[in-house]
Amino acid sequence: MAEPVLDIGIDLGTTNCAISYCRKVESPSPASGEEVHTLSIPQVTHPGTVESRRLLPSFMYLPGPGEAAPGSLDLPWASGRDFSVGEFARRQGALVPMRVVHSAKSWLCHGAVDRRQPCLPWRSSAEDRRVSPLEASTAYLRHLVDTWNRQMAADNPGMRLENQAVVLTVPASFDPAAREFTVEAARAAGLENITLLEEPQAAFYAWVESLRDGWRKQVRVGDLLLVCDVGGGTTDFSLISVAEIGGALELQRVAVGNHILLGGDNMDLALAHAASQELASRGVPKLSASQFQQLVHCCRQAKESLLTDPNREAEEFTLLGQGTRLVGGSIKGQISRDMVNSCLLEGFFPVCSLTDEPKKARLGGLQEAGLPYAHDPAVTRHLAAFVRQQVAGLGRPVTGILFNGGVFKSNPLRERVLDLVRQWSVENEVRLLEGIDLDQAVSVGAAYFGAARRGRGIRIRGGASRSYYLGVEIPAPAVPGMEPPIKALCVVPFGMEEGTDATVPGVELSLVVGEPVRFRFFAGANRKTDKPGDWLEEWEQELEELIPLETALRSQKPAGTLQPVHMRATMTEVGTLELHCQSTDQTESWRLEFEARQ
Amino acid sequence: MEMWQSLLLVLVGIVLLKGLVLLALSGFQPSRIGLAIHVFFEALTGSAPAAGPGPKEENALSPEPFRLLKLLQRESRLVDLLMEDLSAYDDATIGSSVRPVLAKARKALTEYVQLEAVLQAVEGAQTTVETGFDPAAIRLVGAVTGQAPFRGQVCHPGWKVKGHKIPASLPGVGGLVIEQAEVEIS
Repeated sequence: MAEPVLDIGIDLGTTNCAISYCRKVESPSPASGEEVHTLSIPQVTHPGTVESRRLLPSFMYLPGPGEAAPGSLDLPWASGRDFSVGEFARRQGALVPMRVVHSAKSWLCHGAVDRRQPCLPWRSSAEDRRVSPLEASTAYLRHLVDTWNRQMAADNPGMRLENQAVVLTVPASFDPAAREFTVEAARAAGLENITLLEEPQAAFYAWVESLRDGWRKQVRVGDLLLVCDVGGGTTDFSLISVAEIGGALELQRVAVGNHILLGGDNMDLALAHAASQELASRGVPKLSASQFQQLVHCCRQAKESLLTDPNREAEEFTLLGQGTRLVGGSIKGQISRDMVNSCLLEGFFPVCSLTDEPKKARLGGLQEAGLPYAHDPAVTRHLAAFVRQQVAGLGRPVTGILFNGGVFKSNPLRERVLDLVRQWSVENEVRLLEGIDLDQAVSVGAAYFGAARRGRGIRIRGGASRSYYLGVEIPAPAVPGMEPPIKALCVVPFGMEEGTDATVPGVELSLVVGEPVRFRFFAGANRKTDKPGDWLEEWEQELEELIPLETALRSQKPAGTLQPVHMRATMTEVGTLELHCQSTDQTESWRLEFEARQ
Repeated sequence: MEMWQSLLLVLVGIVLLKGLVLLALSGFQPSRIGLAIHVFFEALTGSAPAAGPGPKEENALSPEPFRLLKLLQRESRLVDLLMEDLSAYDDATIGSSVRPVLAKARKALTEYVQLEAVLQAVEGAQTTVETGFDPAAIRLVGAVTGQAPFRGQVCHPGWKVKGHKIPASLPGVGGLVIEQAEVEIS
């Protein structure tokens, strides 16, 4: 019997990871072609205890010398472990915040740090152990690889994950550098054969998978479907358009939102802070770290119950006393409906109009170089800005919504977003696409995409999620105090498809050979008609500057030679972007690196 | 009485008292007096074993019987609850604190120990206790006369362990430590 062909999807999330696979099922019924399964993941849950969970929390705990007893962090496949990944890391990290790495994925997409340098945990002291964002991501992936190899390939080396095609999800808003780092982390974990997939697309694939062939009846030609994905730490929007080409339905991802560091974890924390302030106002002494964790947990439960049951007015909670005075030191409190409404519904999902803008950052003189968290917690205002810009550009309204992320288990939050989008879409029907597992849809969809890629299901056409530009200085007389003016040269058009490349036509740049060259680099989310070779002289807010690109032009030609080059862009099959300078005589080519740092 | 006689008496008294205390500490098992001496002196000198467990203790006392206790404390803080003097608190305070502890303790218990009823019968129902029944499993009360089989009412269907998932060992975790001491660094 031939090897079963498996397609594997990995959700490398900001706060949780998951791994799924899709197995082709031979069945007489044409509707049931694929079956997606999710692996349970053994992990250290307490010192000395390994248990399986559906998700692997993306936390890495780095104990100090002598802090963890020998063997207490071991896994069935790894002894002598001196760090821990998963549930124990998350739990322990809440009590010892300076020793836990979290949100490594957001750091991967944060250009202000060198993502190969050990800098996490961010607030740890210099003498403590640190890892780079890349190493932390590698550790999570390595854990998933080991899990797979133990469960699926114990007696069959051909099944090892290293030998499989793996689809790895990234936020749609990840920039080219962050995608590149994700691939690098996967390679470091032993995964060579990978493809990147945007998370909102993965959620959409999961929806397609959940309905088998039934999804075709739920969409119409001309639909514009919004995927609203609020994860633990990031919020990600995408628009998918439904068209008909040659009699067949075609899906195309036509817009992607900005990278917004705002998620469900912020919401639980916000509610817990509100509840602890209420306790403080009653004279309750400051909560210990473990009591605050209890409170966050109570808040999560109270949120669920108050948001599902409109008749409940409040949820009472008891925080157990610290130390041995469990009953004597206990603290009673309650989370009222008002608190949930003002904190969550009005704080994170306020009613707003389509013209509202997310509040901008207050620019203080000095800012700590931590993660660039969203300044406006209102998911709905971020969504309004996205929908307004994209719908204006596309010239048609949103007609359907797919929610993803644990946050949307709460009905009123879904309703709120749905109501708003309906208002914004005036007179147009907006349908709710339902049926996915809000926690695992991304990994499930990624596994399904693996199969779709090989022609066993519908595929969403995606391509480049932004258009990209190089900044080129315009020769001009120097004016003191003025930056030399620059123009932006479009090198990658929006939607440039995977597996294609394009030479930027009509433009010849000259580079000095023998020394590193830097380029300013820009991305545009809303400029969908720019073509390679187009020049932009003014762009106001339309382009966002990314980290500069750099290349060293090593050449056989003598140093100092002025080398005329063409720009060539490649959208790889993996889903990463490569930019090359090619000598006009076609003899030499230099790759532009995304990790150019000051 | 001479001075030396009273001194001797006091001395003998001290030695006897110490012996008694040691015997009490050892749970009235003379074989454990060695450990008790160890514990006694530790208590006297106030030198709590802060750095690493003494291997002697581990050898003397098997952690085996306490593993479930440790799991229950870890998951629910049940030991904290049982060890706390609740006499000073009103019922409402106790109720609200004990509820979550018991809910978690129950969850942990059912997760680690599979319990089932000894008698597959509803409480209050009539049942027959057959000849050759296991007296360790069924307790007969009331007007018991003659021999089995007996007819009677099930007052308590009993509990017995069907299986368990208590881990064989918790590597790297101090065996006799039910709950770690916690020290906050500021």
